[in-house]
Parts: sequence; structure tokens; C-alpha cells
Amino acid sequence: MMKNNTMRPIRICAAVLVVCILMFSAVGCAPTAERYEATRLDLFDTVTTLIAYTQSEEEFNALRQLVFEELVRLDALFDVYDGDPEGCGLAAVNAQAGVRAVEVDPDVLALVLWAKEAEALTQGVLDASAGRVCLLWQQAREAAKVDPDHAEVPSEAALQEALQHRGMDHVQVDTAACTVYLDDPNIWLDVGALAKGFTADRVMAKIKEAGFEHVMLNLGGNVITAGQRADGSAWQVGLRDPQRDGLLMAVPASDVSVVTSGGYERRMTVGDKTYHHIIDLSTGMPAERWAQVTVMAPCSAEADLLTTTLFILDEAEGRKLLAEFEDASACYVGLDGTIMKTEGWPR
Amino acid sequence: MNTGRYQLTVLDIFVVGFLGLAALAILVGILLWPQQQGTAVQVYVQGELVHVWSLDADGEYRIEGVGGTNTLTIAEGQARMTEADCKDAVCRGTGSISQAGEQIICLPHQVQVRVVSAEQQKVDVILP
Repeated sequence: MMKNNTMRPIRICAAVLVVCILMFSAVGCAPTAERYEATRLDLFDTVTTLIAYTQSEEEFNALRQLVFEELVRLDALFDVYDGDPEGCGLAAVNAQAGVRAVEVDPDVLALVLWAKEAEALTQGVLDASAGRVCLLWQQAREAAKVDPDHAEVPSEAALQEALQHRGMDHVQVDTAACTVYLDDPNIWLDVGALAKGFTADRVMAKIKEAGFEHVMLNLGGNVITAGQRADGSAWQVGLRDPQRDGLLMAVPASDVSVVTSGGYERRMTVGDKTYHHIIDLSTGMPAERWAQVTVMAPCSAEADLLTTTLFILDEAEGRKLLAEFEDASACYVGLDGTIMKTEGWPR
Repeated sequence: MNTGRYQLTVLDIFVVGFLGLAALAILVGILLWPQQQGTAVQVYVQGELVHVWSLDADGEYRIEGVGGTNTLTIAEGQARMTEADCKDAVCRGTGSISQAGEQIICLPHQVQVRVVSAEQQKVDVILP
């Protein structure tokens, strides 16, 4: 009975097709993840948005709790304006400048060490110890909000005096004792250009550790993503057009961080001139080379450092710095609206 | 005994019947699948997004392609290439597009016009 031992071609074909159909129906039956969003306005002095695809609302609520609890904790530690001057955060370090070393939370120690590294990497362009200069501008902006008709930029003398007191060498770190000491009473730490990226990485590590796969976190323009959207398409990050209303472009961003710096946030107007908040420490004045610089990199702390620094540096210096970071790319918008993308920027 | 011909068994009939039903189901699915009216066209030159025009904004739009220009006309929620200074006229021959995913391609000028739906246009966040 040879016939029974030979597989008939029609049966082979049928078997293959049945397997294919079963595979397709299995895909169709997979539980679908829902998209959820949550926003808070009370953290890092900016808008924080969490978007995620999860199987249920309970699952998203668990994620939300995890994310915002960590953000609240880190915000309190890193906030130099409203932080607790008696606590174990940066506000206490500033309050004890020139007095004594302050025992800090390990996350504060890690951020201060990153700030030291950032100063070295950017050759002083990003200097967290130059907080006095930022403080002068911050006070000028606050005064301008109250009385816009009498808005004034900080005086040249005050800026020059503030610029004298900086250098991360004045920030003494004792890793073993977990303390930070500012050895000059006029040094004032401001981590505005570093804290959000650093925080985004920390929080994202927790999110991944907890097993969440499709998450996007936006810390006021500091975006970090885990995986893609649930349907496998890339997260889309819209870049605002710095010249007019609307979007400049949408960038696909999966498992990556996107951070932008622009001269259109935290501004004050004196007469017919507008001053923004990104200060070039070589002059003490807002940087005015670019309209917007956006950086994409796997590490949010690096993207955050790069975007601010590239916004201050000229193109050649910026490209040189960018080349030192693996997998980082930038999109510049010039003051005349010209767009320039470096190698690696998604096309 | 062996005539060299296959004899149909019950299992064969079952398999053929199952495949026939599956094919029918797929056909019905394709026919009933809703086509999605697009909301805008994205214009790519050399793979780079250069314009996004709403399908509600009637008018004639100029596209600077590689080595030549094309004119895209948008009217009544449809877009079609009405002019192109290239030798072949493939893009003009494509006709009107309006459903999400439809596209007009001009190879000589490396121009791609693609209809997108509101969903596809959506970005998850907008950086400040």
C-alpha cells in the first residue's frame, strides 16, 4: 500500500494553509492595548505628560502612580527655588554655601556628579555652579511679570559680578559620606539645563524595570520613549515651528529621547526686545545664534545637555561636541528659519 | 489497483470546504473594510517631507522637485497632479487621490504625494 505512505500534494498544501490561517486568527484574538494619558502641571515648573498603552486602566494607574511618585520625589530634591532648605536636596546645599557640607540623597549626589561631568564635557558652556547669573535673569523675569512697563534686564555690573562666582571645582563632593559642599558662599547651584534629562532617564529605568513596554514621558519638552505605540508604529514627536504657529515636522522616536531648546520659552520683553532664558555664560546674556535646536539620543541626560549647549555654541563647535556622543543627532533651526539636520537624524 | 489517480477522502472534502469558507470570509472582509477618507496630503521630495496641505484647502500648489516642478491641484477633497515639466506624464495619469494611503509618484522629480488620515497625522506630543 504505497499510496498511504506518500503524503499527497493537496494535503501538504492544505496543511500549510490551515497553519497560516490559524496564525492569522491568533493575531486577531490577541488582547488589544488601550491608550491612556495623564498630565500634571505641578512638577519641574512645567507640563508633564505620560502616555502609555496598557491592557487595562488599572495597569495604567499603577504605571501612573509609579511615575509621578518618583517625579514628585526627584522634583523636591532638585528644586533650587522652592526646595526645602533644611532637607537633603539641592536647596539645602545652596542654603549652606560657604558654611558646611550637606548630607544629600544619593540621587542628588549622582546629579551633582553628572553636573561636574557636564561642565568638563562642554568645557564650561554648561556650568551648574553659575546659578547666580540664572537667578538674576529669573528675578528680572519675575519683576517683569508683575510690572511689565518697567521691565529691566539685569545690570551689566551685576551680571559680571555674578559671573565671577562659578566653577564646578567649588562644588566639593564626598562620595563616601554622600555630602556636597559649596566652598564659596556666592556659589549657587542651578541644574535647570540638566535635571529634567537626568530625571527622565531615572524614571524610564523604573518604568522598564516594572515591565511596561509602550510608554512616552514628556517632561516639559524633554521626551523619552520606551518601545513603540502598541500597534508597532513609532511614537511621533512634533517639533514646533519657532517662526510661526504650527508644526515644523514630526519625528519618529522609539526607544529614544528627544529634547528641544528654543528661544521662545520663559521670556521677558524690554522695550521691543525679547530676552529668553538660555544664558551664554561667556556674555551673561541670552544666546542668540539659533531659533531652535533639537537633539535625539538614547540617553535623555545627554540629549538635555547637548540641546542647551548646541543652542549656545556655533555650528562648528556644536558638531565637534556632538561627534563625541554615540547615536546622538541634532536638528537646528536658524534665526532665518533654515533647517539643518546632522547625520543620523531620521529622514 | 493503483490507477495513478487520487481518490477524495472525507478529510480532503473537509479541508477543501474549510479553505473555500476561509477564502470567502477574507473576500468579504476586504470588500467591507472601510476606506478612510484622507484629511491631508504629505509631499515628499527625495524622501524628505517638504509640505503638508489640507485636502479641504482648494487651490493649485507648486512642488519644487529634483530638476523640475509639479503642480498639485486640490479640489473637493481630492488631489491630482495637473502639471509636470517632465518627459513622462505618469504622475498626471495617476488621476485623483483622496483615500488614506493613496499616492501619486513622479519618479523623474523624485516627488511623492501621499494622502494621510487625521489619525496618521497625529503626533503624540509637541515639544514646546
